[in-house]
Amino acid sequence: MSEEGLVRQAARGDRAAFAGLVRQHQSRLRGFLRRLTKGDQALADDLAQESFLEAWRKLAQFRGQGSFAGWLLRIAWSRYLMQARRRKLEPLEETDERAGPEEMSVDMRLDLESAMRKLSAGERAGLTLCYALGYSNEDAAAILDLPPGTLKSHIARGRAKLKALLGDAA
Amino acid sequence: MTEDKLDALLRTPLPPLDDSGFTTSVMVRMAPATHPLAALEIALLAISAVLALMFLPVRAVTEVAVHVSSQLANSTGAAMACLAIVVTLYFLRDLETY
Repeated sequence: MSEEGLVRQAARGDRAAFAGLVRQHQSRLRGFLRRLTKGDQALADDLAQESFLEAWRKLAQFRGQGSFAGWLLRIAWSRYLMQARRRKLEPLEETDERAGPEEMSVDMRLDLESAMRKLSAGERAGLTLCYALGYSNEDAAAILDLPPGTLKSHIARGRAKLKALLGDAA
Repeated sequence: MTEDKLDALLRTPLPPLDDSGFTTSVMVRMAPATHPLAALEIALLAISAVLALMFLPVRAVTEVAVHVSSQLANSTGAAMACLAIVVTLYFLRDLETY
């Protein structure tokens, strides 16, 4: 059955159809959340579960505007923000963290995942959506509920930081 | 690192994750679907309540209530009982403070 069909069936309360949607989207959603939680797999999976449960409850509100995957990612992002505020995991907006010369020498061996952990949540989310998941700037901005200009700034800053962090490792 | 290299690195897809029971755990945590019978039962209850209100002898019930309350109001026994309850409660509250 097509994704559209599964969504329609699930919105009518068909649990098997919803299970199909979870199976289809779990990898992408959990991967996205792992990036956001800096590799905390348990927390990422917990957030992913909560996101799917919220999606199940709100499925009737999904009117097919945009993709189902985008809608799920939007729920996951808002779940992550709630969790981050509750746990005070990190500043949600721009961090002032810049790789200084000393830190860069220590970080020379860092791979992309490790370097990503140095970025702010917004930068990690923007870069992951636009590059690894292939969303357009407009779609990614809608998922993150940010003005497109803010997303572009996040991406530019994130790229600059990554370049500095990975520069010597290249 | 060049811009092209960074682009290529960033475009690396996220590694696929095995389900490994994830879907099952989501399904277990999902609230049970509302049984169609539950909706039917609620509808029947609502209809019964409306019918009961329509055919309830409201006037007769009101008359009885008025009669009983006026008798209670004029009854020395009922007044004494109320007084006893108030006094008991008052002393009980005093006792709790010790």
